[in-house]
Amino acid sequence: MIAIALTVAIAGWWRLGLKEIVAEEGNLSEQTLQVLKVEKWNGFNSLRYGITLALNQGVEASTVVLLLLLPVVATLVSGLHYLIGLSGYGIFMPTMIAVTFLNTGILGGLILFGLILGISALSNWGLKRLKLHFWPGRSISLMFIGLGTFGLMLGSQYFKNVIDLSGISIYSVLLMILLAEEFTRTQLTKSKGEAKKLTLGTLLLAISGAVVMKITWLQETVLLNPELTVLIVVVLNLLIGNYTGMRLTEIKRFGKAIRK
Amino acid sequence: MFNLKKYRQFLTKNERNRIYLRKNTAEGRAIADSKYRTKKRLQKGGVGVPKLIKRFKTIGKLEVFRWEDLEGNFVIKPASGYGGEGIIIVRRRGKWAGEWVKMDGEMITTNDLNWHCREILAGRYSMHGMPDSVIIEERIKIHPMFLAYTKSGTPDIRVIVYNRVPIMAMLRIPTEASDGKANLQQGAIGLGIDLGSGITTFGIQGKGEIIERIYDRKRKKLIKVNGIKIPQWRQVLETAVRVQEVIPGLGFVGVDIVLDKEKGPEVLEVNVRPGLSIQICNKAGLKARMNKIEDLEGRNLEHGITLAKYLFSERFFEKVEEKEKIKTIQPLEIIKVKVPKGFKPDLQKSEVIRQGKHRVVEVRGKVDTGAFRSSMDRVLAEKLGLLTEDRILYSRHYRSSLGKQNDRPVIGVTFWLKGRKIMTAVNVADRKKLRTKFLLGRKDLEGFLVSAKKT
Repeated sequence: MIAIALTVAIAGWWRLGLKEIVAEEGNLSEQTLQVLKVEKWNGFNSLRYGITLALNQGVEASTVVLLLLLPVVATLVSGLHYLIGLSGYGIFMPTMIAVTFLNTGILGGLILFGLILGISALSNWGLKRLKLHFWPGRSISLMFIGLGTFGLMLGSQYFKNVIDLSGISIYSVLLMILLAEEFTRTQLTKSKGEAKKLTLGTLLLAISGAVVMKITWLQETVLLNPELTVLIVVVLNLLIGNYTGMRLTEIKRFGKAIRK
Repeated sequence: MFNLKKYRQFLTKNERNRIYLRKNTAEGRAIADSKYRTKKRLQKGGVGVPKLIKRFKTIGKLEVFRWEDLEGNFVIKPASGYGGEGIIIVRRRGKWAGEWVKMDGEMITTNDLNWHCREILAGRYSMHGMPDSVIIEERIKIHPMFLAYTKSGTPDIRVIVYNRVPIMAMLRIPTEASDGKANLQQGAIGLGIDLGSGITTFGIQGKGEIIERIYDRKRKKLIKVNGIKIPQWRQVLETAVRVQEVIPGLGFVGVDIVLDKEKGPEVLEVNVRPGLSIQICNKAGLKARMNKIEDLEGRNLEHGITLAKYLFSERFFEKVEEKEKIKTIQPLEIIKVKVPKGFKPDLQKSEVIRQGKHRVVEVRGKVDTGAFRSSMDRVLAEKLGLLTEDRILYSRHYRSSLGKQNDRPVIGVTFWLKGRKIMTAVNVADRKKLRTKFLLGRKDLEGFLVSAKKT
């Protein structure tokens, strides 16, 4: 419940602040380019020098920022997992979904995911009766998802002032399908509770990742200090990777096992 | 309140993920992850497993399989399945040809079985959806003792074995919530088991809900989770340790064992990443137990089980305390030391007393609350047959109050003090010149009060 409330709150904040953030980002790129230009190559700033070259050749600044931020978000996700105990479907899934949220917006992403999950659950339930082979069943399910997403994009035109989903890229849809598939899979192989827990965890991790990715200050910093970013990512992951102590959630779990 | 020190005993998930990689080789993990390879290995090594009837790798073989040749009493499983998914248990043939009766009494047709096998082959139940193979094996006849606790599904015993020493065990009971699967994650019940006696201690349902009572279907009432005795306990532990002997490269495993009515303990599955909830239903930490035997290794089957028995036994005084008052003992007490089965003690016959099914010898013991472990005279230990190779748990450095250091063997001893049975590890020392041949350390005096009054 708390998780859902938090999600809605963040989603609301997100929608309000979206326009200003985008506007700021536009300015940021120009400023950053200005700062980058005065660079002189001295060996320690090879990466930064390379970025300047790439930007001059027409590579989008936002792409470079995203590439640099990906490992940062992955580090955040792994930190939340190994230190706090928040679990999702692996590390790539939450990281990817975080990027997806950048494209769809958090509220939009959640609506898209809900829709895909609903359709795939419904079609699975129906297809079970037909006793088809495994893969043809998945194909039909995929078709329903495709049609449903198309319907959503079309329908959102009429609520443009609330949420605009017409600009969803195909990659966002594909990643959301993957997440929905994981959900059905876990529900089958483990349990409903576990599937819910992991899916909610994934979304939560992805949302925190997306929030971090949207911080202008961070975008600016990683673009201006790519070498430092790489170093910090490596050091942090070495630290987390060697941590064998308790996760925060385990305090509650093992607390029950302590004899009075 | 929150005391971090008390958490040190537990094996955390972060650490488990490292230990399983460090202690289990890639080969061992590969064997354990495939039910088929595990079964083959164990069968070859003489460990009990449910008998394999048939295995399919392709649809072609499945299509020519004659189901009607089977008599019923079989189980269909995915070879690389996990969490107990994709398993169909068939009890007997149905009334008409092509019909079968499942465990829960439902009908299933040969067509349904074929379809289910195709799903398994396509990888519906395997990790990451990889193509899998189908195993058909004989159904286990559940030991009647377990029938009281479950409606459908087979209860099993999970034993964690580390360095060829069993370090923790639990009884897993399927529930309706777990859909007949003995998997805690799905809502099955787990009962901790005392390694020394095979008697259950605490209970848990699912991954973290502590329970105190379970339903007994025979007596039709709720009973306490503690006090259920697992039959053939020693054989269960032996089977678990044998798995580590037979499959190479497994240093840290959870072995799932079922008890067959006729054939005794059989290994269902070997798990290289055993769950950690076992610590909650035992109310004990795996880490502390692993540390205790870190530099020891079960020399052989016998030794591994002896170690487990004497190092990790529960003291049931908590339960006793509720019923009777704390017992008071004098500084000098007569204790009864158990003589191992089949050993002829080097004593006069009159000294050996029968006590129930055990033979015991009365020994005068002196209470020493300044010592941690109890201590026993070397000559006496030899006479009682306690100082044999098999019974020596390990050797430890001891520092006496005079600053002398020497290497003393630590042996497993069972004795009775004031009628209370104590299974413990005792070190062997030279007490030739002392009047009392047995020193009672504070480790074995829990639940007793020592009176200093003159008597």
